[in-house]
Amino acid sequence: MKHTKKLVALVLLLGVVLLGATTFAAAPYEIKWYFIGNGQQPDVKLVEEAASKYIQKKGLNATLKMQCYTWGDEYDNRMRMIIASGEKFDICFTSSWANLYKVNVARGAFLDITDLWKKYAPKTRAQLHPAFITGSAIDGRNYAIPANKELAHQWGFWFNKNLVDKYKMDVTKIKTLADAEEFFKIIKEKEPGVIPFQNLHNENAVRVLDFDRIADDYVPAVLYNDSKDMKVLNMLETKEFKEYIELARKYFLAGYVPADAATVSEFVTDIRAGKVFSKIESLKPFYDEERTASWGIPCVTVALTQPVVQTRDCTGSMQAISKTSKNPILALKFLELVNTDKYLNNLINFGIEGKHYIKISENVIDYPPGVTAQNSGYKPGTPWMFGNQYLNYFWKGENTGKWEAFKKFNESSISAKSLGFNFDSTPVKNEVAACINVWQTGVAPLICGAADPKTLPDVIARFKAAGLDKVIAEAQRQLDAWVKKNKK
Amino acid sequence: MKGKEILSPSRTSPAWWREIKKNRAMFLMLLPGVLVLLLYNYLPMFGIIIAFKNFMFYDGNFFTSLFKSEWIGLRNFEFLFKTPDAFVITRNTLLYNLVFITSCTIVSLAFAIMLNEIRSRKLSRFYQGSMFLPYFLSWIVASYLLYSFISPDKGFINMTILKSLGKQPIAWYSEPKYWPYIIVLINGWKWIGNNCIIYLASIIGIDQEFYEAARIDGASRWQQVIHITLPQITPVIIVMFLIFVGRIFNSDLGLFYQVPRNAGMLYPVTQTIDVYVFNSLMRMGDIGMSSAAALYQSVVGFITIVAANYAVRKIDPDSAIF
Amino acid sequence: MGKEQTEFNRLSAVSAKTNAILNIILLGYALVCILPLVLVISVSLTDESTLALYGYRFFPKKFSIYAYEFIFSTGSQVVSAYGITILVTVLGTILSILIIALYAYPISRRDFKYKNFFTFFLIFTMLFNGGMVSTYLIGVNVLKLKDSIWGLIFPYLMNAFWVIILRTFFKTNIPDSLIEAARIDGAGEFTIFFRIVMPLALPGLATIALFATLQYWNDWFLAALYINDPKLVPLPYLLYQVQTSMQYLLQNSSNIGGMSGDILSKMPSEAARMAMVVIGVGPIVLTFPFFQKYLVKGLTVGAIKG
Repeated sequence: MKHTKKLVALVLLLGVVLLGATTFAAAPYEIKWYFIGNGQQPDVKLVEEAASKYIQKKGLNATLKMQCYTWGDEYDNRMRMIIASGEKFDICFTSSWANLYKVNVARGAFLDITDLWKKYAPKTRAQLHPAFITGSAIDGRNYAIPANKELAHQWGFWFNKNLVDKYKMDVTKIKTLADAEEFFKIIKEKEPGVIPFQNLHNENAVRVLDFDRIADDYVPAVLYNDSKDMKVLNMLETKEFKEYIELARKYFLAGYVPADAATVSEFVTDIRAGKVFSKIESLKPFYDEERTASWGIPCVTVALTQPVVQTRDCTGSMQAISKTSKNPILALKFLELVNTDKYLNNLINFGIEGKHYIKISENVIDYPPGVTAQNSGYKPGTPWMFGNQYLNYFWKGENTGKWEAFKKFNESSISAKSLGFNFDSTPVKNEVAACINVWQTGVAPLICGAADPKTLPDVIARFKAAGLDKVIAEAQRQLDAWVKKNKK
Repeated sequence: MKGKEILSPSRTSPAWWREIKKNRAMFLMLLPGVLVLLLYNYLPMFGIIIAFKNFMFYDGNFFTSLFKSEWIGLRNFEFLFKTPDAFVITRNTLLYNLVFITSCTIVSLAFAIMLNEIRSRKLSRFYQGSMFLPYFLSWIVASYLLYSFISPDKGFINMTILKSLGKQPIAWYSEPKYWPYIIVLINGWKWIGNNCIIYLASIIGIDQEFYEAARIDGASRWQQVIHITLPQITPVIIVMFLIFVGRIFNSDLGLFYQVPRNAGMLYPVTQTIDVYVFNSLMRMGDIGMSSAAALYQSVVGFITIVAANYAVRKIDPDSAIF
Repeated sequence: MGKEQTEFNRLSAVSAKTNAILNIILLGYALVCILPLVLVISVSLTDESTLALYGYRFFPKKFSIYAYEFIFSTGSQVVSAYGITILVTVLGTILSILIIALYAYPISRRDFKYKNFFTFFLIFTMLFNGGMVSTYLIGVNVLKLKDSIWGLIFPYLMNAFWVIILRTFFKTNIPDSLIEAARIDGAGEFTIFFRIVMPLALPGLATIALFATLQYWNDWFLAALYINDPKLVPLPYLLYQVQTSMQYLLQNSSNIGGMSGDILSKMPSEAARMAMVVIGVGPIVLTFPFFQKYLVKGLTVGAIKG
């Protein structure tokens, strides 16, 4: 009798343990994904559920949890807190302009995936243009997966088509910034309420010089894209820059540029009100389509530079795996699906078919009846952020030749010589901080033409006092070491 | 403690326990506040160490990473002094704060007294309420409002006032010379109502008997103000002053960064320590350096308030904070 | 008591001429303070396109309530945000006044041996701070403030500045003799506190209550730190989210691609910004008169004196 009781008890115990173990083992892992965008969408839970079901069907024992924070301060502040406090999460959006990639890698927040993604996200890796991979590597190691989208950047003019047509301007003959002067003159004389050239300090034409700012966007330590001697220069001392600020000053004094260009940062309001004639923009294939949609003004574009790929282009949109992730392999496998599986990719980007969109052909979608951009329950609007854009559906009206055009654009670009080099500012961080400060105060007025070019030597002196030479020397040192390492 | 036991065997509790029992009502009252302070303010103070370390993540845990991070002493503080602007930002911070405290105090006091003296209670309440309104508006909104006045090409002043006087428009955001006045005025506009309420509440609390006695003695209203009102609220004035002094190295980013729209050309007169730190560290994300800056401001403020408190204590021990 | 005061005032009030001058000065300043708010309301009711062309005006060039429609089109979240804000403000104000007054009283008593220690304990927290990261860590891990209503209340329960102000009020306006008398009568400390001190300190308490209410009502910072759940988002934070993302989209073109621009095209940015201010600040401005009622002397003074 006692034996049987013991046996029964043992079996029961075993049963409980097994049950517990299986439920434990079977409990799906929750993949937590932080990213930037237009805010948490109302129907995000539906998408999470559908996605979780789908990835489980595909063999990943996981569920998905998405958290979106909005542009600007919110995403940056939130991620700073989340990462600094060591919170456990799996994936987060990172780039050269939000949740700064370099800063986080320097702090050790992201997982080194150089070898891992070869194994667990091979297709994602394979479909990226090689520049993406070398460009987003820091010291030869990768810490985030770039989104597959347009690679190169190209600077050019955005012209208000209404005005171009009105005065029958032949803007195609513009090849340089100086060529545009005659058109500015026409606008200044004939259209008093319109800004001929919106050359604000934060969206400035100095970008046309297309220097490779290898240290920081606000430090003038630069390289020529096709540099033959790989020498780091002080941008302010180059011939091109000096010529540019003379031109900018000329335009400013002539009244082509807004008087408060050095202080105002918001430019879209005036554009949408039809008060702007031209501005320098970063162009890409079918840019005019997108811009006309968002700004409401038809436009004509004229390219001023060649498509170029710099390191910062490769880090425009990436997803990183957090070091605090408890299952990075699962997270990587998930990202592999997002970047290669058409269904999942479009589910996350556009929502649930029938509810948030309807298909009007194989790859083209539209809103279901009654649903608009305003009231749709799921409209993240950030396809370039989630991952491989080449899988995206097209909204009705979008040019379906877009992805081919992107590919062509990428292939036709030239790579900057410093592609793949990432500057580590820790040895000179004090000087960098001081230089950023001088940039904000000194360079902004110069590049808008609000300050007299005669003050350039003063600004150069201030940079020197802030330690710019030390930064340039350090950048040169690191660059030389990188070149040497890569020569073999 | 054992010694006392021999003399009075019934006294078995230690001295500190007796103290607690004697003041138990007071301690009980203090308890909730003390708990909140301990939990939310004192516990996190270990974070001050970040200022002295080169913080890096070694694994997913904040504490172990903090522990393992390299100790670099005062290196995080260097950027505050190595910049060519170190003198300017310090001078700006200090001077503005001094002007703020004097101007705000004098005007708020004057208004508080006036509010108490005018005959109509209704009107007094109306003025009070109005003065407090600017406090509700955030600095971002204030910066837009200011912009609508002094925008170089769309602003009210340039377009309407100056034009009608036949004068040239002024590039407000590029001319530093106007801004010390603009900043002091705007700061006053925001805070006077707030300070005024404090002074007014304090005036209302004054015992009316003083005034009655003075009136019987034939004092005029003005004399009553000088000899009764002011002395009675002096403790409040001093306390406000001391607290302000503790923040002498701090400044409001809303006022110095957003209102001047971070205009580069105005920096000589609008850049304070906080603006400098904010600008530099926004792109660098270095929490060691930002902790160092905060610590620097705290230490200076601490030294100043202790010194000021000591001076006040010499004059009137009752008015000192501690 | 209102009548009493005016009676007394009439007996030794300022001259009519002085009264007039003071009124003019005060009126002038009051206008300087009111007009910006009027401007804000006016802009919020202006059609967006006229704003870009004509700037801000006191009388809208073209009237439009589209900005409000746009904000409220986010639907139920605005309503729940109001609810959260009201709850947090009421709860937070009541609790913090209690805790602050309880702290301020002992340190205001001359005969309390440890008043200097506890005052210093308090002031130290005003000067030194562990930093946002460590505070966040403690808040989330120890105090469990994440996604909790307490995350919006707890951090502001003790405000050193208000404690000191209240302490000073207690010290100067509560005569020691009153407390002594009560002690002799055998009253316990808590009784003295609630029955005698609090009523006398009404102006001070009302002032602190006003500040606390404003602090809780206007705060978005705590939500930015601790709140993820959309159901717990208070009003200012909701508005802050809309505002910063709007600001960002208006300042950066190169980074945002594709259809997120769609949202931009419909945004009435300038008017909406002002509308958000009105929505956020409106209710609290209207409650101000309520507080003013209490910024007067306590009712029991006469009785005790008698």
